[in-house]
Amino acid sequence: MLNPAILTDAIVTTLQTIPYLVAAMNGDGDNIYAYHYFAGSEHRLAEAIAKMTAPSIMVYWEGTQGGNFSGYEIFKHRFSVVIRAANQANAETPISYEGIWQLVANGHVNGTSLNIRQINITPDVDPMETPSVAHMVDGEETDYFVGSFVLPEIGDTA
Amino acid sequence: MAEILDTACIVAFGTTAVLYPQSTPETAVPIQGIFEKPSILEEVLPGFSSLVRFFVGYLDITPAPQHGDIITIYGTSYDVDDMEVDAVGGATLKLRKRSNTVSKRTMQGTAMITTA
Repeated sequence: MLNPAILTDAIVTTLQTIPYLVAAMNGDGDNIYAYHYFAGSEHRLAEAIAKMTAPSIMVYWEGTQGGNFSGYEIFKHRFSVVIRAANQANAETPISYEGIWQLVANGHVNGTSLNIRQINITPDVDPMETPSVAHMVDGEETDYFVGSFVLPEIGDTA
Repeated sequence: MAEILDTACIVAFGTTAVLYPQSTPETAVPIQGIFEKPSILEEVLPGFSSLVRFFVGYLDITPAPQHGDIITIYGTSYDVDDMEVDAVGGATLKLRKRSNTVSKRTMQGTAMITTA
């Protein structure tokens, strides 16, 4: 089985290649970043989500489902993509959460004409299953959105 | 009476911040407010943290703060994400830190795995 952290970072790296998505993140690809469960050196996940600055996108591993899904897929890795949009007051071309999610799902990646749903994020995984997104409200009663990616691993990587 | 009490508390315990109204973004309006407890406490003080609740005298600020304005506290810029105005002219501004254009974050996962 793959280490899911590698896939988390690969998702981040891929999202950072979507020009309009980076533009929506204040033009800085580093505002798209990964969360890893390093006890002691990372904040707990709930705090990391709450304290996300705006705009930013944080990707983290949600879990792995095991099973005999097909003859060659036995692990499906789930990831969440937490989205915080920028303040759009006075923006020349304001972009909504709907627009940001469309960029995530449809934006061209790696300088190609393909989107993130159409590529192998790494050679060890199949193209992702159809992604979903859902509205959330945090403790400050602020809107944000969380996308869900599922990446089926090819075989059983040693 | 409550309004007088609010003003007295803000004068006595308030922290100075700067409001940049969206109607006149180049105009820096000095304001005073009191830090309140946000929904989740962080490991650094308000003014350095990502989430701040800031109680101000809504009627004492011109132009009145509104959702989408920018406020600077100790040099850190925040968006006014939301605000709650009470019946006697006070308001709690819910602030979220603005992302930098140059981030110092690193992706630790792969690097640490590679070196393990």
